[in-house]
Amino acid sequence: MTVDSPAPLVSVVIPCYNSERYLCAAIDSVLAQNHRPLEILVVDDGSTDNSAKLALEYGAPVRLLSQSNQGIASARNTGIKVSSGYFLAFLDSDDLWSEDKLTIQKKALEESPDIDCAFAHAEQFHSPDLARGERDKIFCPPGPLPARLASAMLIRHDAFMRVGLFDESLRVAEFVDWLARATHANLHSVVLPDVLLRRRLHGSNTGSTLRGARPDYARALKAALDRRRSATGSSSDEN
Amino acid sequence: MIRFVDSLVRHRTVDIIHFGTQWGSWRNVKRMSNETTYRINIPNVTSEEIDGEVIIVNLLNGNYYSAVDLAAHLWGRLQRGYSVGRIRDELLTQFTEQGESIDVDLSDFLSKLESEALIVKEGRHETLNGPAEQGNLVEIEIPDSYSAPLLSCYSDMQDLLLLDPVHDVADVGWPTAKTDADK
Repeated sequence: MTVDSPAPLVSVVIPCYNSERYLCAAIDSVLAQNHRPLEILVVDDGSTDNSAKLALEYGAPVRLLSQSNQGIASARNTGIKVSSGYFLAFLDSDDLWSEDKLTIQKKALEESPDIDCAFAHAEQFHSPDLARGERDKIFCPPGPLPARLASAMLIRHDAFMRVGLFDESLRVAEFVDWLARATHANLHSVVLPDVLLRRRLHGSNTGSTLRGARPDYARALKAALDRRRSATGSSSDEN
Repeated sequence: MIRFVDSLVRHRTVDIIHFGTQWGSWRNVKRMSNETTYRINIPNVTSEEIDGEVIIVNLLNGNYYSAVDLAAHLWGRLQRGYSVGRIRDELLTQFTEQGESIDVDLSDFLSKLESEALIVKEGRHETLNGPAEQGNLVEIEIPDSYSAPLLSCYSDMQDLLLLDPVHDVADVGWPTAKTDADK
């Protein structure tokens, strides 16, 4: 890609499920990006609240896709399958990007053609609408943390497809599984020191509401270990 | 030559002091109380047995662990609330010629689990949820031949596992998990 080439299209997939409280803030943070052009694919995963209506009100470049409730992995995959951008990004419907997120990450990828995807640091915050009692129950780590998360990633579309879609059988840990497969596929990534993602903590975060699905973490990690062992031909793989 | 000294034999506790080689170096003193019982450090520790391997995930430190064979079997015993003494007796019955090794290896294994915050001594969280909250209990039989129980530790997914969205806290603050009785 040369300096004179038109700016590449970035497809942003935002899966949502009953996200009316925070969805607009998430979409606004994408629209506030100083990178253009954008394609924003909001995938409504069978919401019963006003999420779809709110997304529809935006118009281009925001596009609404709807499906029955099948989980976040499926919703992201639905967005990926219709995306046409050179770069692919994701944002959870309760999180926020800094306005230079795409610019900074795109620059990093363009300057290092051998790097397939860029992550960043994330800062977590208590959602301001949380009641005091609820706030006290949710630990908010101080300071930014390295974030190899879907919401913090910018990746070349072809590199993403080399790894493959998200595993729809996982209700949680779908990104743990994807990242493990990406490592196995020799995807090269970088975690930028910039804080580009603001992660909202609130009572209905997926991890808390799907606590019963936590065995999915073990399943994803077992699969990762088995792939690693097959690759080395050894059962000894401790890092 | 190792000289084994049983310095104090109490009703419930055995202190085992190992003298090292003929040069007189000391090894660690191991103290195990037969009545000590551990609990899995739920809800932030989760585990699953898949194809004979137990994968343990610690959302407190972002590490994950693998246990197979005897280590996997012992994890299942800890899930069921077996005391140290009961576990020891089972091992000594199965592996009659491994007496000294069992005491040291079991102590090392439990210390490792405790230092990784995977298990806590019973009584620290009296109102912890019961086995039903642990998910599936491990059903791996005790192996036929003895080898020291080993725990493999992995930290390559720390940043992802540490960012698991919500960790409940109790009044004393992080990282004590708030139990249903506290809510």
